[in-house]
Amino acid sequence: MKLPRLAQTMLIAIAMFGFTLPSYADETCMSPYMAKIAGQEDYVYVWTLGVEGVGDEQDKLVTIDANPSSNTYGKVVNTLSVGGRNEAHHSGLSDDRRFLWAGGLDTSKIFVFDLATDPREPKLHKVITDFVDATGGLVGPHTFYALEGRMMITALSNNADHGGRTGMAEYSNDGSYIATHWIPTDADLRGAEKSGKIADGYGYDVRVKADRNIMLTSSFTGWSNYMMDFGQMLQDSAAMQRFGNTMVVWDMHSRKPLKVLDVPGAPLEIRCAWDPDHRYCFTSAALTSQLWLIYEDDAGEWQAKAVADIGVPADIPLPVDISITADDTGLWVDTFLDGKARYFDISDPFAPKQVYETVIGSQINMVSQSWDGKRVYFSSSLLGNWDKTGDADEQFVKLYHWNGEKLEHKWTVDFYEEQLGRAHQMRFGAYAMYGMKRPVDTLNVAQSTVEQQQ
Amino acid sequence: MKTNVIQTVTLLFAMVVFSSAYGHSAHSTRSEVLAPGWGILNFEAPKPGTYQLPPIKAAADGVVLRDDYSAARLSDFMGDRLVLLSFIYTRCKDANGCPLVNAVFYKLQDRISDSKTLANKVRMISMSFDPEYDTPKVTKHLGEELRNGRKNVEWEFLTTSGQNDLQPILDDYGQFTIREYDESGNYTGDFAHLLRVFLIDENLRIRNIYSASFLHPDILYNDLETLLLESSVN
Repeated sequence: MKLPRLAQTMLIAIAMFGFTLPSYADETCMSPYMAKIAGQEDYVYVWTLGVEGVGDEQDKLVTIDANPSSNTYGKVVNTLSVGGRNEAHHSGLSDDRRFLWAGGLDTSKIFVFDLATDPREPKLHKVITDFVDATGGLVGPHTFYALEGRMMITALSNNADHGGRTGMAEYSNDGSYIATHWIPTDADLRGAEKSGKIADGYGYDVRVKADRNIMLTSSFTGWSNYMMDFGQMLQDSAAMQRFGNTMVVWDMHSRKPLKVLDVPGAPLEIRCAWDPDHRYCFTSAALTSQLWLIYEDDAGEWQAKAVADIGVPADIPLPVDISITADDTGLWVDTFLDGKARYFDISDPFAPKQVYETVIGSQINMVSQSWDGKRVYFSSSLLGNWDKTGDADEQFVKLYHWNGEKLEHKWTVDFYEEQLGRAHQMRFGAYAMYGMKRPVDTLNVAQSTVEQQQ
Repeated sequence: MKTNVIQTVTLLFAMVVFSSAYGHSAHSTRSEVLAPGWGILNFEAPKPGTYQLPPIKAAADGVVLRDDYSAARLSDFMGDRLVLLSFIYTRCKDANGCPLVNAVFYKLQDRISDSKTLANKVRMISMSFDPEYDTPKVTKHLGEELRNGRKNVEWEFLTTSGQNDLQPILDDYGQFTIREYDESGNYTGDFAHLLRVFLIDENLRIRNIYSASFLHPDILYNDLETLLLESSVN
């Protein structure tokens, strides 16, 4: 029997064989352990904060059709509400991409969505409600980073003082707790070397350079700050002291902290170079508006160095998400307060140069790009109590095409107009990842005709 | 016998490199990049006993076929030794897939055989997820080609009678596979899958899971030693 062959199946190259080497990805900032899409994504899944007075007011997973062959391209095709508000924030795919884990920073609940059964209509598979107790006091699950058959989850806070002291927890793919790894502090370095002035024990993001057996963590702030009104916090000098100023280099295989690096000003997202010979990662410090390079020197020591300003630091543009290109030559940097996307040439990682900038909206936070770098998605929300107010509180997901010189706007989904909420993290999905064909009735008329004739 | 094995592995390696450079161009863009397990590890593996391997989950059971066609439980091969369990299929051509597992296990068995601590303490299992092609006759042949013939390390080659027995095992271990079809819709004999190897202790608990990124004889050896040290302490 000759089976019809879908266009997107031809377009998508699945790098899902045994190799999980760091050469294959869709969002170029994902775990190297993960099955990857190298072609056109079918859907963008947006973990969305519920807002009082907007729609059902609940946190929800929003599915946007991202396949240009579809008759619903650029439209919301599904929403799945989770029954309340949890300060929905980050999400991450399991290594086999069958499940999407999404966290609530306030309630510390973790929602695990099944994407594989029907990529167009994800199902809520499991809710983990005992994260705080199971992990020994971690609060605010943040980054969900796929390891082999496991998920590494960073936290932002703790249940003792709701400050920034925190750690990471490891869970099996089926949702069982495995272990907690606390970030080293001055009081308990856990065998790590303190290379600078401080070991604050704060946490935020995690990334792995598998080829060097290195894991890196960054640092932000605790529950008492990220749940506070942004304007009130800026006026609270004590609160402003409670931000992370460190990164930690870990031995990946043993999960042991090796070295605490001074990286002042809340170093947030970590993006590591893909090329195994490029022994470095980038981060952006939110409060000092600097780009930092975390690199292995000629002696094999990991070091941290500020390598560029982001905008005018005195203006406090507040860099948030960053995204590295697949060839390690470019870095997108979103700055929340001025709503700008900036593109840095990082061919020389020690001397990044900004070569482009444009305003995406009144506020932007996350950025996700396709593996070929041609499609760049932006979302708007930072935190429920930190987003702008009034007319400046735009909430959206926008797709742009990048031609190497400028961004071209393709479509916008207005999350307030659609009664959805605040758009936060975006993850990609594709039928081909699950050996499935895209249903013909979701393609446009011309494409459907082609499919039916095959 | 030894010469035959070396020739087989050499041929295997040549085949997978060829496959890597040629065979998967439709599926990936840079499959010529070989996994660390093919060469020298790029870092020093943490020393045995200096770290912990917390239990991940229980090792699942199921009905399997030995290479003499007799039925057994997967758990029959666990409990008395430390186990390295891999899911493979013999037609796999991806350099960083099943051939990588075979090559790493092949190198590891000699080290285990020569080890004062691990000899007679380890069993490696290569279990097929392609029972239609990988009959016990096929897995027996692969075993004969790859085993080093020494009695102090065991390497079992298992399959199943079909999907009814296989699928529950794959589901329990989270080993997801996809059949590959060509542009005419014909099954190519290939599977897309994530490489996974499981380290299982004597209490039938999974203690580590390896992908291509960390599947290396040095790491496996030190992890086995770590579990052995742990059991000796306990």
